[in-house]
This record gives sequence, C-alpha cells and structure tokens, in this order.
Amino acid sequence: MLESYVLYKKKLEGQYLETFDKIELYSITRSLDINTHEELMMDLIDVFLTAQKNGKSVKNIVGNDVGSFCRNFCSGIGLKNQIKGFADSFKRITWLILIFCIIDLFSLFEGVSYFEIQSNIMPILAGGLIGIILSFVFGAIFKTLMFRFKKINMKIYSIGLFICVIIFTGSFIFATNKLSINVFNWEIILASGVYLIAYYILRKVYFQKLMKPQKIRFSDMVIEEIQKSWHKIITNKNKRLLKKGKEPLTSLEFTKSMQKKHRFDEWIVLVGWSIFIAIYLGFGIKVGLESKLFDTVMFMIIVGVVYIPIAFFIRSSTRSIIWQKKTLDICVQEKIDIFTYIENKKIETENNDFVEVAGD
Amino acid sequence: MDDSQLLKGILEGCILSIISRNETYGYEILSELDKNGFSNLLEGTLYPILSRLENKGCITCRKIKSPFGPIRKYYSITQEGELTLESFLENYEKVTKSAQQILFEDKKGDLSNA
Repeated sequence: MLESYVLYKKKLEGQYLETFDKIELYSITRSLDINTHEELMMDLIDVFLTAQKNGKSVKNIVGNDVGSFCRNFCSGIGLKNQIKGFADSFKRITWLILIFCIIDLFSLFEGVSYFEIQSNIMPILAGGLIGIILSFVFGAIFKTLMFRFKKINMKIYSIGLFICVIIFTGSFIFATNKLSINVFNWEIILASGVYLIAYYILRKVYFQKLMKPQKIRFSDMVIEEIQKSWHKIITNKNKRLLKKGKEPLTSLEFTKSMQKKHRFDEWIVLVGWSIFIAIYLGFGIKVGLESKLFDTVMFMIIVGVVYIPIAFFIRSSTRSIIWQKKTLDICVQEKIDIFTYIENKKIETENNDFVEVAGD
Repeated sequence: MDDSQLLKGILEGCILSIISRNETYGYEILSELDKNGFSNLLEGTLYPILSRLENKGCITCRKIKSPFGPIRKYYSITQEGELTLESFLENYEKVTKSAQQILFEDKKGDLSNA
C-alpha cells in the first residue's frame, strides 16, 4: 500500500515538528522529483519519531545549525534525480505548448493548408524564461531567509509562489499582446513530440530506479482515493436522506446504487476512445482531400507524435474508471459492500507486500 | 584549521564499520556515532554518506515498516563493502601511524630532553 510520510507528521511534537517542517520546506524549495522528496522525508521522519520516543533532543539529530543540516541532507541527491526533476518540469511546459499548437490546428477548418499554419511562441518563450528566472531567484532568496527568520513557513512560501505566478501570468499576457515570434506549427509539434517520446523512453530505461516500486499495483494506488471519495458520497447522501426523513442507505445498498450509476462506464470509455481516434482520422481525411499523399502522411506522423502521449494520459484515467466498474460488479455479485471489499483488498495487499513489519 | 574534511574522510569508514557488524538503520547508526564522540559533527552528513555507499555498491538496504509506522531502511554490508572496509582500515592504519610520528615527534623530543 502506498503511503506518504505526511501521514506520520502528526505524531511529531514541539521542536521535532518545527524542525521537520523547516527541513520539509527546504526540500520542497529544491524542486526535487516527488519520489526523491518522499523517500528523504520518510527516512527522516522515522529517525525523528525514534529519537522523540527515546527522549532525545532534536539537536542530537540535526545539530545546532538546521540550515547546514538541510544543505548536507539534500547534498546526497544524485545528478540523476536532479536531471529527472528538471526533465519533469520541462515535460509539463511541453504539454502546454502542444495544447496551444493543437488549438491553432483549428485553422485547418478555415481552409489553411496544414504546413502553412504558424503559431506564436513568444508567450511561451517569454513566460517560460521569466518563470525559470523567477523560480530561481525566489528559491535562492527564500532558502537564505527561511533559516534566519523563524516565522517563515509553508504559508509564506505559498504566498511568495502565488506572487511569482501573478508576475509570470502578467508577463505572459504582455508578451501575447505586444511581441510575436511565429514558427510553423508542425515544427513545434514535431520538436515537442520528440521531446515527450524521448522523456517517456528515458523515464522507463534510465530513471527506472527512481520510479515507484513495481510491486505496488495500479489498483492499490487508486484504492485509497476511491475509498475516500465514496465515503464522502455515502455520508452526504445519507445526510440528505435523513433530512427528508428517509432511511439512510446501508453500505450494500450504496454499492448497488453505485454499480447502477457506473454500468455504462465501459461504453462511455469506448465512445471516448472512438471520438479521440475519429478526430485523428478526421484531421487526416481533411488534409488528405486537400494535399498530396506525402504531405498527408507527414501530417499524420506529426500529429501522431502528439497523439501517442495524449493516449497514454487518457489510458491512465480510463484504467481507473474501468477498475471501479469491475470492482462494483464483483461486489454486487458476491453480495459484499464496497467498503468491506476495499478493506479486505488492503489486508491482502499488505500481506503480499514486499514491506515486512519490524519485530522491535 | 578546518577539521571537517578530516572528519568526513573518516566518517565513511566508521559508518561502513558500524554496518558491517550487523544489519542496522539510520537512528541506530547515529546513536552509535554519538556514543563514540561524533555527535555534533554530523549535521546531515550521514544521509549523503549512506547514499554514496549504496551507489558504490558497498551496502544494500531493505525496507521494513518501523514500529512507528514509516518505512525504515535497514542497511547491510555487501562483499564489495567488506573489501572497501578492509582497504580503508589498511590505509587508515598507515596514515595514522605516519601522522602520529610527525605530529607527536616534537612532544617525544621534549619529554626525552626533560
């Protein structure tokens, strides 16, 4: 079962909690890959909890200078992790660029030939450059001040980030209105698509060790989130029923009602995928009717390069939907409510998990 | 004179030596170092050293749920680590012998003159 260190933070008290918050904040300002950050914090929280239980002062663990501790603590992060963190940020920007380029594709319906469509990349360039400079400067200033002033905490960091976002958005809007660099749409899509494919291949091959352990199954990842959201739904539903003077739903009745609600999910997923593929083919047919075969094929390849990463993204979302429907079907068939099923699944997962329970 | 570089060089060997005795975890290593006088000198250097040793293949770790809940890493020494430790101990002996001769030669001379 996937767990975050955040679950154990509430067990820390006083100086331990204060110090841990500082170290956590420092780690966040380092913009580490999320798995690296989780692993570092999980290591540290175990040491803190053990030391707290043994009545040791937090200074026995971190020394007199928390800033120095943080710098040393995070210095063990290898180049691979830092590269992955940077590549992850760049991946998000690339997705944003692709979305804008796809929006520009609608010029096709105005009779413009695909290879003549141009996109203004100035907003992305200006915004991206300013974003990078801002985050670098803000991070450097914040890291210096956070150890000098006790009151600097996550709230202040969030406010600072918010101000940076406003400056970034303002420069983005200014760049859109005042400046322009027009580049052929197909060039941007090709470059972005190549980057994304390279990123996902590298992630699989080079960053494999930095990824979550493969023994954690997909269904285990969604269990926690689905359980929370279904608990909320049944609680709110029963509140409304009680207000109307009606009997609240039992867990089994709720499971049956959710199963009915989700019975068409597989069809919806199928229709969704069909529309997705139809749009791709639609673009192809439109370009094919107006251009030579070679141009059409090139266009399909370039748009295909965009479609593959989007397809991966949609696949992840649809897997969650399909899993929910299958689980509800199993529950109704076996006449067991969904919450009991999930608890049993959790126990089963913990027993099969690679994580053992310490004896001491 | 900055002693931190001297300490950092020795710490890696000391940590490897602690791990070689039996499988252990972060807090236990810190306690052992503290018991032997390395307390306020650590300031976060333990984790980068453990990370370095793992990357070099000198130690492996397995993850176990601690009694407090978080996943705890238990470290044990590998064959590669044993060889590294052996080499460190040899070099340490050589260096300390030579350093002692130079550093304490004047004092020995004073004692014999007195």
